[in-house]
Amino acid sequence: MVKHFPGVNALDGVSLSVERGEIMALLGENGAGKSTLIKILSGALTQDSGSYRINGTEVPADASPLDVRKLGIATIYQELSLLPHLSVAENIFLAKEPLSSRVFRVVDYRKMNALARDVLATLKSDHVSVTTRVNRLSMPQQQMVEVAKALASDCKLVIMDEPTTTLTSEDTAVLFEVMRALRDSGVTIIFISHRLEEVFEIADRATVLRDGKLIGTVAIAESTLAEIISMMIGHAMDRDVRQQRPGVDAPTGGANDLLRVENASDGGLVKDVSLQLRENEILGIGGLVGSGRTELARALVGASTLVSGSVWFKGRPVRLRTPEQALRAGLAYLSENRKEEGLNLGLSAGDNVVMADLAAVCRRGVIDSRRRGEAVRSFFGSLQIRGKPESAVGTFSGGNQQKVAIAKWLHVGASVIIFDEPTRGIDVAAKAEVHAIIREFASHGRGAIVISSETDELVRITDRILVMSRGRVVKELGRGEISKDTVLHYATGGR
Amino acid sequence: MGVRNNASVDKPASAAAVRRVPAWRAILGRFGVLVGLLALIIVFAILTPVFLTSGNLMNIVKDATTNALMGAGMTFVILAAEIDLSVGSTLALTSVVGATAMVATGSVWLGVLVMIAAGAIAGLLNGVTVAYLGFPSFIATLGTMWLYRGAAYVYSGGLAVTGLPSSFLSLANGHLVGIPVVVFLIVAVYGLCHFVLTRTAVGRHVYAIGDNNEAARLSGVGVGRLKMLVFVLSGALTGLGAAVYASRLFSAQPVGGIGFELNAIAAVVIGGTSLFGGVGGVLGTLVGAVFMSTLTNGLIILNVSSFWQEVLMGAVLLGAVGLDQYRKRLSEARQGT
Repeated sequence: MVKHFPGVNALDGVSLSVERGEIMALLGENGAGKSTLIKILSGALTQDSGSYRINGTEVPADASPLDVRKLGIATIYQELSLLPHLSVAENIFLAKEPLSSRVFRVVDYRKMNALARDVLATLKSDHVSVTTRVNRLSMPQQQMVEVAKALASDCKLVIMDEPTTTLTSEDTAVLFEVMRALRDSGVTIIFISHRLEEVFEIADRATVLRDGKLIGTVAIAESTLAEIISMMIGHAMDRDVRQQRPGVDAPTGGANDLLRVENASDGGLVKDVSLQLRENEILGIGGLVGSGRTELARALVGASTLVSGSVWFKGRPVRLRTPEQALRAGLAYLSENRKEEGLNLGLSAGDNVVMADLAAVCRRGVIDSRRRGEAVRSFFGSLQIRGKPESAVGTFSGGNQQKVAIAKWLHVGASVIIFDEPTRGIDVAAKAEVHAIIREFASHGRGAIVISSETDELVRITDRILVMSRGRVVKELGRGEISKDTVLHYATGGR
Repeated sequence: MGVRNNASVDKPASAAAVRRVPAWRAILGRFGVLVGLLALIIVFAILTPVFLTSGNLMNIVKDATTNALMGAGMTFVILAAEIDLSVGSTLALTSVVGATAMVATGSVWLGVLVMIAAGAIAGLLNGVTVAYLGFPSFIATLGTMWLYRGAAYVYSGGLAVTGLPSSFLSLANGHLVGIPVVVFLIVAVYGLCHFVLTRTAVGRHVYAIGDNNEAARLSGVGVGRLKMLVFVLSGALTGLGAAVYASRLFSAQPVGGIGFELNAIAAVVIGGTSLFGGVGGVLGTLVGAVFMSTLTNGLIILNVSSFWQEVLMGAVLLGAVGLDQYRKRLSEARQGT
């Protein structure tokens, strides 16, 4: 199967087969062609050549998403594709509503709600009300609605594109239970994940793609993590352990604190949070999804309002009311939501890099193409961004998009960056690169705050960790106390 | 414990957010336009005794009819996150074409049917351009706005079509058991539209594509077909509105209906439907249309100059949009984000 995009071979002669009732993991770095492959399988894109069959039936090349679904293939996309203003039941049965009148296509709401309740019950999510509007649900609940939507279409093949990215480990466990139940009832699942531990937990076989080509398929029971990683990146790589960084002094609360926050509350979730960040320090913020980490960061940079508390930046009391003021002071926030808040996807990568400080590339108030080019080229070089600066950043892989988003704040000359989920949805190799960028950034008197749901990541790169739970900082873990266990212990409410 | 645990974390925050909003403000947010309309009626009733007479109230409804019919179709278009700027010109074109047919055959029914059919065809052309040629609807219908207007001039030679059968007068001006005929028309059209939007698959899919076009497409909703349908509906209801309009004037004017597209959009927006699509409904539009004609009617009775009428209408529209923003913030507060 072949798919060309302008400039790249997104998919190049890939063949694979999946058996009835198995869970197949589809692996590969960002840009390896996984997303392209599943978009073709689901009918959202058309292949340039090649074909695929389900249960022996050839799927026509010009099949629409509807045609494909009728053949029994349901897809759960990475970006949830629910309709926020419709109810749970309406979302689950979208375009296949039970009708009480065929002629006038009148929706039978009673039947639809009852059926939706049944489906959710099989997912152990019966506490979700089927008449609630979807935008009232939490992320994991929305994810369950997506799964329910696939189930309701009575499908033979479910494709899940990184379904666990936004889930906590408990929710992931529930999802896996459901996946096993589906498999045992004869449904086939193609599962994409960047968390290889999960793949070993749930998948029967794994297929690895690299640069749009098929590298191989292995049985999980007979394979090892190291083997799969080396298939993905093309060479063996040692799993990184906790990086030793030159010692950073513990904060003293004194004048050389880069950022000091006392008793900050945002009037909502965040309550009475205090923190200090030293020069050259990487401060981690851990906690479960919904513990108020992002809300804290947004309030600090003026994206939302701090109703009480005080902030000192570089020793001076500051009141940052808008992101613009925060940036001017040198405090930047890298959003966890890269596609909607981090980048202007339709603009070129170069435009994104210089956007936040155009004055720096201007001469007499007019953008100077030579200066602009130099600035963009230097970041593409130093951050090893792969792609053309003139291309729309939306065409870049996740890892390279993230580097462009980081370059934007480096260009502004920020002295503190709050990295919110800096490696969400990006592959192993790009992850290591982003970690190196963060480490490099937190030097020369600058400092980084890293918010992450991946405990591994926090343990690996931070000097000190604050654990949040229900909007408060419940524990500070110093250099000697950091471990996966301690972070999880306090995040889940331990004392 | 996972999902449940999360739900329990979310709930206290959102419950607290709801509690912070007093009930009267929540009601104003939900039924703002209706409250505004009632307030307006009370003010006018106090200021002038003529206002609350049954004859005047019937006038208000008759004045609102054409705008209400066009607004019903426009609601579908806007719910699907599109816009139709051509309806004012469609009104002129369909009325001259239909009126000619009426004069030629002497049949009122045939004339009205021709108007509706011509409107549907005009809408079909809009729909094809938007759904299948991929033009943004703002541009596509801006183009057909001139195209249909020009066609109306060319067809009629720029002259009004007169000599209509006198029985045609009763459409806009007649009464049935003491109630204006147009009231039955409005009740029927709005009842049907409301039912379609809230209870049928087609209606729910209109919301779906307005909410998130791509997600709806990937779920198997026939996006192109539906977009065609909303434009056809908008055109057809404009044709019906043209019939009422021509009946009121007892002639069909090729210069008629200039700016009516903006009136229809205003009625939709005042009625609380979001210009971004996916949120709103047809009942609000009816209140919006009646609100607009009530305001005009009351100001005329009070002898306020037509210049000031426009100033006030603009202020009302801005107020309605402000209310919409406020409502959005309320619902975000309720989500606890």
